Amino acid sequence: MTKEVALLPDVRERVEEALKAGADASEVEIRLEEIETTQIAFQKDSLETLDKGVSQGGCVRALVDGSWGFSSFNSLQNLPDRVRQAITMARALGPSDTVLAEQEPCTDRVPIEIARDPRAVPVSDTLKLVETYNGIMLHSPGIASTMSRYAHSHYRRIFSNKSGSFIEQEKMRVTLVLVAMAVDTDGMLQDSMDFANSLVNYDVILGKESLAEGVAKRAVETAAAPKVKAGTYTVVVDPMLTGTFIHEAFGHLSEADFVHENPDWQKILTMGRKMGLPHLNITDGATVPNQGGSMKYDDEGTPTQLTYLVRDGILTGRLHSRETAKAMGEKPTGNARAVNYRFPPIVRMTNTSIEPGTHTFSEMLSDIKLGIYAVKAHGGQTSLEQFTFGAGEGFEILNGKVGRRLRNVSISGNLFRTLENIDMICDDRKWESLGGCGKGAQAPLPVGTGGPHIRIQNCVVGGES
Amino acid sequence: MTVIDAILEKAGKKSEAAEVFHTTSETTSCEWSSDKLKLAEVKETSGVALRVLIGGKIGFFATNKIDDPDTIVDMACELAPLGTDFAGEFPRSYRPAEVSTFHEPTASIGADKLVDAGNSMVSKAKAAKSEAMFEAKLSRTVVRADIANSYGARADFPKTVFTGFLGGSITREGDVLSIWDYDDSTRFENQPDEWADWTIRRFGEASRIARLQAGEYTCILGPMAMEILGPLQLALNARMVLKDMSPLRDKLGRQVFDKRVSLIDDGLHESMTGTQPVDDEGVTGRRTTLVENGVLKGFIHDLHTAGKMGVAPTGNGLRAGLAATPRAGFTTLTLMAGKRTLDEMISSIDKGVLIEQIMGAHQASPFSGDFSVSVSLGFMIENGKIVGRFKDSMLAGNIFRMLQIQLREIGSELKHTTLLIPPMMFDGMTIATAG
Repeated sequence: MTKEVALLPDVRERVEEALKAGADASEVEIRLEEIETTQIAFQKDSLETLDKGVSQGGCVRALVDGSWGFSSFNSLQNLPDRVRQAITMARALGPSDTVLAEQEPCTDRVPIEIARDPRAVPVSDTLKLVETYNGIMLHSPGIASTMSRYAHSHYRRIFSNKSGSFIEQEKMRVTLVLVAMAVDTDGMLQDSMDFANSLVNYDVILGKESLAEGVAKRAVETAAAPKVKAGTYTVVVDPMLTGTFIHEAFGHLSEADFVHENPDWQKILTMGRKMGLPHLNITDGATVPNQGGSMKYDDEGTPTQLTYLVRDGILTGRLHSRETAKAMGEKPTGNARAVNYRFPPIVRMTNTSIEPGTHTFSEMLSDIKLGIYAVKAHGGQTSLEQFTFGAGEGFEILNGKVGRRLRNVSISGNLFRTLENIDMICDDRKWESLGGCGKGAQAPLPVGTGGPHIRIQNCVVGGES
Repeated sequence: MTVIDAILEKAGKKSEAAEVFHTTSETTSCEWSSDKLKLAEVKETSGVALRVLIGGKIGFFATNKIDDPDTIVDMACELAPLGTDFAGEFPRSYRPAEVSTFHEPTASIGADKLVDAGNSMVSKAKAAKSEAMFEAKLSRTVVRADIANSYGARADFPKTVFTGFLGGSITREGDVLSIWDYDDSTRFENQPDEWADWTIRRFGEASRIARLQAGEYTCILGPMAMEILGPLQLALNARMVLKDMSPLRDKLGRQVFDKRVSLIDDGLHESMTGTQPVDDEGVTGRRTTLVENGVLKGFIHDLHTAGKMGVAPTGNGLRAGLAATPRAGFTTLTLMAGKRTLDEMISSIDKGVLIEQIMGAHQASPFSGDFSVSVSLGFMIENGKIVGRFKDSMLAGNIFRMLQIQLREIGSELKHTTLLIPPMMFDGMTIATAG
């Protein structure tokens, strides 16, 4: 059951009227949005957060003589004035050379099929549930402290532009994150986490008692584990961390906004370049269902698609907005996204994945004498071709078997060398949508990341010597 | 009747105490990418957040649909029975500190002035380093916040914020170099020019590549690399102390760091954007000593943690956003400066490194202080001189151990990043390298 989009009475008429104030602009876009959020957090033995909010606002982006002007606001009155304001800002820059790819006008309404709507669940029920999970962790042996967070958000977004599109989209997200902490041999807290989330169903957070028990158990084991020894290893990466790796290390480089005016990068990222062995396939697409980045249209009204960034080890695609596609003589891919109405859309990933291969997990391990098994993501960052990411958990691989637990495993390297060093890809892809992506000031943008187990040769693992 | 009055009047009847926070802001900014001016924008925000106290619990609701006081009051009152415990008390009156965070010349900056300042910054950097591509953003915000409670206390305070960055990158296969600088302040002064100078200087020093062997080194960390101190910020926060998550929780009055380490939360520094005459709960802004000569003196508090621990609040009840309740947070955490400049410290090193920029600080363990970060801008030092840039390396350690036993020297030049901090020199830092 979904509610009607009703940000404003007669919203369509108002928006279309306002767009008329943009006669002088080559393009004008109006986005209106309503966001409802609820956040619950327990820390150790008490409720820390019960925050509820409703936010409503909008923005106008106008392209005038090749320069962008942008205006964002909370009050949805006087939309024509906001259009004029965006045009004034664009004019303050003087003429420039931005041109957009053409777009077919489109009218559509895209509600989501919600299995169980978190907004219909009494807050008291959710509070009790989260408190139960928190209590399970807190009363497990060896646990010093806990954090248990629940959040749901729901947004409705209206997009309209001078090119003639009018699109209404809806999106929801329910997330439960459980963190347990135990004291290590130095007297310091080490944490372990796990989560459950869904884009369509509140019930995903029910029955997570064993998840809570697992988190507590792993926190105690991590605290007792020795620190990883810095060095270069064969590293086996689990699906969740594979997803984070491909998002951070490769995905950001496939965003055309830093390539389209940079001849040096265009040379490096020439289509047809060999990126890895023929088993390597990398995709991005908002059309993958029910993940963080899933949606039918991007924030410029372009229909989304699945884009092969790497096919059979060869660079075959990149992610575009209307602006970058036009500049590079390619087609928009539906990757212009804004974190909310306070920001203009920029080129972003949606759901990014290494496609499954043919190996099995045990095949991967079999010939490793000494290696590292890196599990779950603990954040990551990239600076162009350099990347780094932390593993939530780590293990030693010894003579073909996963052995003792290690802590403080993080990995860094050069993207191109690392992709070439992926020598095995498993058949066991998993998707995950916990992460929020940051780029510029826009964070956290919901994204999906996916992948199977992969094996990387000669990978730098940080740590103490 | 103002929005605040309308909400307070209704909320006052349905609760034991109520507090309304009303904020509006206006931001103008300009962005450059690939050396070119790309976008100008103006952002206006407004919203209210209501806290009601019923039976010792807080009900909270925030929205920017401010024209419907009944709904706002009903939502907050409905949540109160389920809400968080509140051990504090809303102030009976607000006593704003004598500090000015509103700078009229900054408030009146428009898009034209930002365009001029940014264009000259980008062209200066480009002229010095033509093979680099630059991106930048400059922005000016005027914030007005009003806070009032049902005891009749009321305060309002405007603030100006100037913020921006300059980043440049040189792209060669196998060696992509990015260098950037940034800051925020309540005043627009000469920052863009300083960012250009800093970036140009570092590009110059980075042009030569040095080969660094993995091992242990004397290491100077620049202010931007001090992002690794996140766990220190958590450790000094009373919210973490109350949850037994701070490694400093039971160390009040004890020597916790090297005796040269002194830390204050400086809520009265007029050019720092964290400064407010009162905090977001109406508590008077102030300067709080946290660590003095290595001895732990206190934590930062909001009204709740202060009440819970039986101490005075410290003026650190801050809202992370409109939709978040006030929680202890730093105004400006400041590590007190030492004597020698960065250049003097460099000249004192026979063999070591200077690390200015890192990646991955947020993947560190948030409580233990263990970290392992990728070095994105690091220089090798030999015989007192920078001999070149080293690449593809990771720096690992533990921030608490660094401040206890690895500290060699604290520099003199404070820079504002997430905290206000000078460059610092440490012994025996572990660096891992590729290949």
